[in-house]
Amino acid sequence: MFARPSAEQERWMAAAARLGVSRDTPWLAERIGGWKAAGTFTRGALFALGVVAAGLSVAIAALLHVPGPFLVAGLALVAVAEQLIERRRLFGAGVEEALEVVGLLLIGFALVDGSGTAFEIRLALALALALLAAGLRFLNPLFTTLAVATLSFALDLIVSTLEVGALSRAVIVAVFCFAAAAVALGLGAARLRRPAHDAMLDWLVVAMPVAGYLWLEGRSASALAADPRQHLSVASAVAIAMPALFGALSLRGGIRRRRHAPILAGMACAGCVGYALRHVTGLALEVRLIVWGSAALVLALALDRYLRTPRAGITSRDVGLGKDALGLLQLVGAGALTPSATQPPGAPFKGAGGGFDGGGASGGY
Amino acid sequence: MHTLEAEYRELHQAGVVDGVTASRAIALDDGSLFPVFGELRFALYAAVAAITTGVGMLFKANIERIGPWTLIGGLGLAAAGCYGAAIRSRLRGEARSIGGDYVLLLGALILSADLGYAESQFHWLGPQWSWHLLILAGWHAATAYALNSRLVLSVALTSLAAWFGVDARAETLFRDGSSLRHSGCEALLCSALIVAWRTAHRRLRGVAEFDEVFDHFAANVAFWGALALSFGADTRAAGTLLLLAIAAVAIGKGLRNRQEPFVVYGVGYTALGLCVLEAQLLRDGLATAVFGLATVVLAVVLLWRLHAQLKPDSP
Repeated sequence: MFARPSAEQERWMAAAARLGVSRDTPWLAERIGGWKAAGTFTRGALFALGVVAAGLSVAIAALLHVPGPFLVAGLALVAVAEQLIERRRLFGAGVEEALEVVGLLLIGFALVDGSGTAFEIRLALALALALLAAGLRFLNPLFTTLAVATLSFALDLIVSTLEVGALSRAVIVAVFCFAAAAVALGLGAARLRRPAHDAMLDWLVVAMPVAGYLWLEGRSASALAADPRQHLSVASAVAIAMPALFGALSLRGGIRRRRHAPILAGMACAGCVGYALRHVTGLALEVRLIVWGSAALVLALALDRYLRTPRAGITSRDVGLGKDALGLLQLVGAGALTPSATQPPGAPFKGAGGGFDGGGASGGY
Repeated sequence: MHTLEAEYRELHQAGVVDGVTASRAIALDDGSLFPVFGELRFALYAAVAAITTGVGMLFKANIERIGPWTLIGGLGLAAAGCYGAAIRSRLRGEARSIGGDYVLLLGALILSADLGYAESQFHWLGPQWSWHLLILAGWHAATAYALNSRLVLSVALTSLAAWFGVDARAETLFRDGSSLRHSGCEALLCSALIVAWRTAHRRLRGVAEFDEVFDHFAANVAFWGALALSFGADTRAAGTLLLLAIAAVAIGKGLRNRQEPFVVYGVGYTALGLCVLEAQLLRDGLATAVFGLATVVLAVVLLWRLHAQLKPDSP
């Protein structure tokens, strides 16, 4: 019904991408069936351009006073996206994904009745459904993960209509998020045909625990604000216990199965636990950052040294297949951490930040 | 879990890949070889970011309590320790691991914060206070070459750009008049200096891995400068022409050397510049949206066509 690569074609595309083999190789081209994708960098750029194009299309429809501009623009965008897939055999190129996901979101928004009660709940459910549809259509892990995250928003809104306290509400939503991650972690052990299905599960394993922690953290802050004398409220205890438990499970699962996503999830959960422990330690923020950062640095250095010689196949060396795609990101990250003075002498010094600010060759700007 | 072992074996049997590549791919696939390099790099970056952020906050919060010389001395010692580890590896002729790279980066960042703090406290450079950024750029460049570190070279180039007044924040592209023109010219000057540095580096047969760092910095700073000029009312024409010229150079370089990011820079920055230009000149919502959409569609078509000329699946 919907054109897309078969499981076998997708597997050949994935193998070619990992080995850096050109798809134009005749032997490979007939197995891939003419499907075209883009590398990560170009795909990201095309996706961004696609989103801009979609936004401008909606703006044109609105400015032309087209009746139901969101619905019309949404349908048009989905039609264009499907044409790109059908005729140009694009799948994973970025632009068709952007057009279709924005189109589906616009359709979902347009079809939700704005009148009556529970509008926000219906809207959240509609958007979650649109994202899920886009995710399943394109086998895109970002869309499916956003769909589940949006579903957690819908659940929060639903629970808010019940007579439960703020903390209980947060725990319910957090349990949903952690449960989604746990189900994904469990399903990840199964043998799957499509690499994309694995990617969808991996993204859920990494993202949903963080989402669950953020739900808990928001309520924890509210609870402490209400009663500052409590340094370890129930909310804080839950905010520590849930990511700690899931983090331990996912770390163990990742090492046993030799999978990266559960290990990354374990690391993210460790970060969440470290942040949540502030209610226990009572240290100032800058001291905590330096202490936890130093602890993480020492642990990483120790692991790097320990695993320089492979242990049961696990190694800290870069033994990947091709060019390091994250190398450029690493350079950007180093630049982003570089401190630069933005104030003239006498003003408080601003240290490491997220961007570089000009000092000015002449001393002023 | 999925495995592509069957595909790897078929590719090897068909002669598309050699045996070594196929074996490594299979080993990575079935977990018999499992590198945690990526996870370690992520953890190291997060640790360095946390420490440097904490150091910056420590200055502000504790200057009265701890005293400037204690802070400067303490952080100087910490930076020296980080550099010392890298120097020791170098003297032993050992290759530095990913952990060593990030410890060196941490040392460079702490030193930058330390010197900036000292200057802000003691005003050693007086009204030329921003020259401490140039001093830092020189120091980091020297240590990058001495210790063969791309990360420290990034810090050096960022400090250099900061000394030129290059501001990477998007909102500054929409400032008024002379300050925008000024910063645009400074960015282009900075980019030209980086290109000259790179040329000298190649002529003197410097480390090949540094070329990429120079190229990316020079390209992005140049595009930033051209955008700043094209957004200014009195430099619009010159800025737009410069933007198109720099885009042509970037795209040409990307196609020649099969470097996808430069093709993306050329098309992406130009599309951004033209869309903003249309919004500034047309001043009618519908016309702006229509022209903007046409521009973006052309950019998508161009980027896709150029991508097709490159090796597929490049990162």
